[in-house]
Amino acid sequence: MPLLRFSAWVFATCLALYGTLLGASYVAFPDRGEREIDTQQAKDTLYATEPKYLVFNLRALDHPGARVLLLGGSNVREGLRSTSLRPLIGDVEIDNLAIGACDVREIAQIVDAVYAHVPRQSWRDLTFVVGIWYGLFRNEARSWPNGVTDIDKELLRYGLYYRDGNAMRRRMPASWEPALQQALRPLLWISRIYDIYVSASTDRLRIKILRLVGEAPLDVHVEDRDRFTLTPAERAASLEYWRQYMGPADAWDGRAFGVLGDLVRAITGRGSRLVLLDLPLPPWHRAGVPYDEEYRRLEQPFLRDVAALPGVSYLSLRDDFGDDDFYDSAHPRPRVVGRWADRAALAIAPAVHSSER
Amino acid sequence: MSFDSIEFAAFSIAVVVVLNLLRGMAARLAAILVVNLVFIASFVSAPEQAIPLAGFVAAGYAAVRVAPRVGARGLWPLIAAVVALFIWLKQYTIAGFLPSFDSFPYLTVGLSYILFRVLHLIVDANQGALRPPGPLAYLAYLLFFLTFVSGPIQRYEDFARQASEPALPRTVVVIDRAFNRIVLGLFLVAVVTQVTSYVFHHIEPRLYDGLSSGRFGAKLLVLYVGAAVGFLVHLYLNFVGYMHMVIGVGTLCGFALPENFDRPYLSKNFLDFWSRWHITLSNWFKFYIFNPTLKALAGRWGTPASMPYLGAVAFFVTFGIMGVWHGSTIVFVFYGLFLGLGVAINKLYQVEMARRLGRQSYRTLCRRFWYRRLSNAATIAYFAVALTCVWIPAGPAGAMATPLGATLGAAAFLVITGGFVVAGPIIVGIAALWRRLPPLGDLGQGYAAPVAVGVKLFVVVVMIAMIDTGSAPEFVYKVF
Repeated sequence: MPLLRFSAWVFATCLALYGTLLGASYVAFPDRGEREIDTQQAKDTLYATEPKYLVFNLRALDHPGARVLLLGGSNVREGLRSTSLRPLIGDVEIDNLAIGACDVREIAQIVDAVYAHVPRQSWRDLTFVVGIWYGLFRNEARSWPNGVTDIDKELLRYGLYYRDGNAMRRRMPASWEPALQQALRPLLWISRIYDIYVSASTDRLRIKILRLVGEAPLDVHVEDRDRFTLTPAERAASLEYWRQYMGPADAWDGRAFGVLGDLVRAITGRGSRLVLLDLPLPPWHRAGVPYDEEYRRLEQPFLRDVAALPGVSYLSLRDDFGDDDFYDSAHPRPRVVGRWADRAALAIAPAVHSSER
Repeated sequence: MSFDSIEFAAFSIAVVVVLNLLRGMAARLAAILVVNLVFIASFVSAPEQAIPLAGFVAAGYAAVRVAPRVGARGLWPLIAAVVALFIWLKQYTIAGFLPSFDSFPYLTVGLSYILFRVLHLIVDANQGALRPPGPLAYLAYLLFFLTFVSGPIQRYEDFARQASEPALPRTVVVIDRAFNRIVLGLFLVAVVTQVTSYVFHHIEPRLYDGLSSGRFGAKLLVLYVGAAVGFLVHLYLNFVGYMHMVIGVGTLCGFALPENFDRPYLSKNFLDFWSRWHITLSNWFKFYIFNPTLKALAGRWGTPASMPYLGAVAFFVTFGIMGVWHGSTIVFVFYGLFLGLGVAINKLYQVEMARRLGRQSYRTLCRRFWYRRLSNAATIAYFAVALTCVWIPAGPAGAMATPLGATLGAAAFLVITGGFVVAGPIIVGIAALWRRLPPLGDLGQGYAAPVAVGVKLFVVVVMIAMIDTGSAPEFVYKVF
């Protein structure tokens, strides 16, 4: 049976290679068993990207206890640091689940994933903090042209989940997940190589090409972020980037406010609390695009709808920061992060402590 | 069941084992039928979703059985009835006056290719070229899982012969070649076309924004050229990858499925292109549309002088129908016109050039390097622009039917032609190098060949894991 012999050799070769990589992955990235999630750490881990780090570390939420879960885009990831917040809101676990270029649909997916992991008896001890601004409400068709979000990609990537309508379902029992995740380490490790070297290089190339046509965002090094100032040309390029990101203003439908409304009800309906933080942008950015004004217009009726719901609070940070508090068009300078925390804690601390009463 | 899924891999292994163990035509046909039904069941979430397909297959069988008895005059009503049923089930715009099943999402995957096979059986049975198959052979052939989704369109007599006397893979060379095709197909479908799909989908929204602005400019042209070339590359590699996989699995099951592609990037002109692209579909249209059309035209108006022009008309009709077949909306009528005009103009050009220059001089011209390059590049460019009808949504398609769209299409044709004049030889060089790689089956009867395949398979699986989104782009031709 040459076919049988041939096939056996093919599969034995694959298995041998896989086993070798699995062993090597433990040497390169020992399993640390995280208890708190901070997507800012993603690039230093086996997972490399924020969505993958988040999806594969959700088991860190599997234990009971009070916790604050920070959700939003890169401005939440950089602006709301657990080290700054913890002294202000007390001894609770703080997980930063924010991921870059996130939208409301992804936030809703992350919230679903959180509830799938946090023990039911601790749902009342959860405080979700969602950092909102106009970019979070981008039209879905623009964010996910083929309907697959970054979170979907990670859930579907290795076949652990499948899509059932709008929901994601596990293919295998939840108890198998930790073992399967260990078995996937070789693939995650190789993905890391791809993400760090290939994907990052193509991103840099893409940004260079976009910069040629005057659309690219800036990539300011961490160590320069406290002193770097945008030139007028760089500000113009940033505004063009946001125009391309959002698309024509008259085509922006704001339907994502409906998604957020559903999310608010889903959170409060489970007894958890929600803090909506209206995040600041540099005034030059707000004035330079048509979206912020439209966002304000769409936000008012939404807030009227949800403000009365139990466990929901809202705080605007919009007017507390000036142009010099940002190193680019959306992200706070590192020296300003403490002030973000001071302001945000005014809403987060009461929400956290209301659960203790 | 997607061709790049773990489910399909497991399914294929089981099928290969079963078909290698079974002997005798009846047993193999019965096994193939069961396999086909399992495969088709993977596309539906409820059995009733397959009822329209089952009805179409049953109607087709009745027509095939009746065909030998109705004579030449009865053939056309039979064909018309089957095609009308197809048009209704596929919900073509022209069947809009008939009741539709909008609230009932039934299975239409594979329906187009079933139509081709049914018409082949009807016509050939009517003309006495084959004996109508029995129900088991009919179902095994019509629903054959390897050709169900998008062909290749295998002729019944070849299928029947291979089902009864399978060429089971007995040598390492054949097995190695089959495995290599499967691995290469997997690489193209699950890795390369993920990338091409990503690129294409990221260009699309920017292009549509540009079209909605209504202004022609360099940026819009770059976006359109990027989308047109991106889709062409995506379509080609996606379809070629699929073909490698089904032919590879077919070989391991003892079936020699026909090839569908023969390096279309080498096409000398648009007519030559169709002998290299989706070959089994082109052949089907040649046998069942072009030949009868030309015969009918020649019977009425044929003279030695008119025959080349009648050929151009027959080409126009054939490719017009082929274009319309691709989709049920008005945009595909334009696609048909594009294809029809392309081949008709190509044919008329050949006739006119041969008349003006003389056959020998025209042949000499066609052999010149710069002429071949230009003709080859213009062919690819024309097809890339014509394919716009396949990928563009209804809204932006309206913008393409304006002077802006016409200007954009013409400018893109020139840009792509120029680009392919330069890029063509590079692509041809890479392809030639690829084809000269030594066949690993020659490594002998030992473990070297399978270990090499195992390493390749591992690398491809790892690459899939790296970039796979878990929702790989659909096989493009599945929707047709």
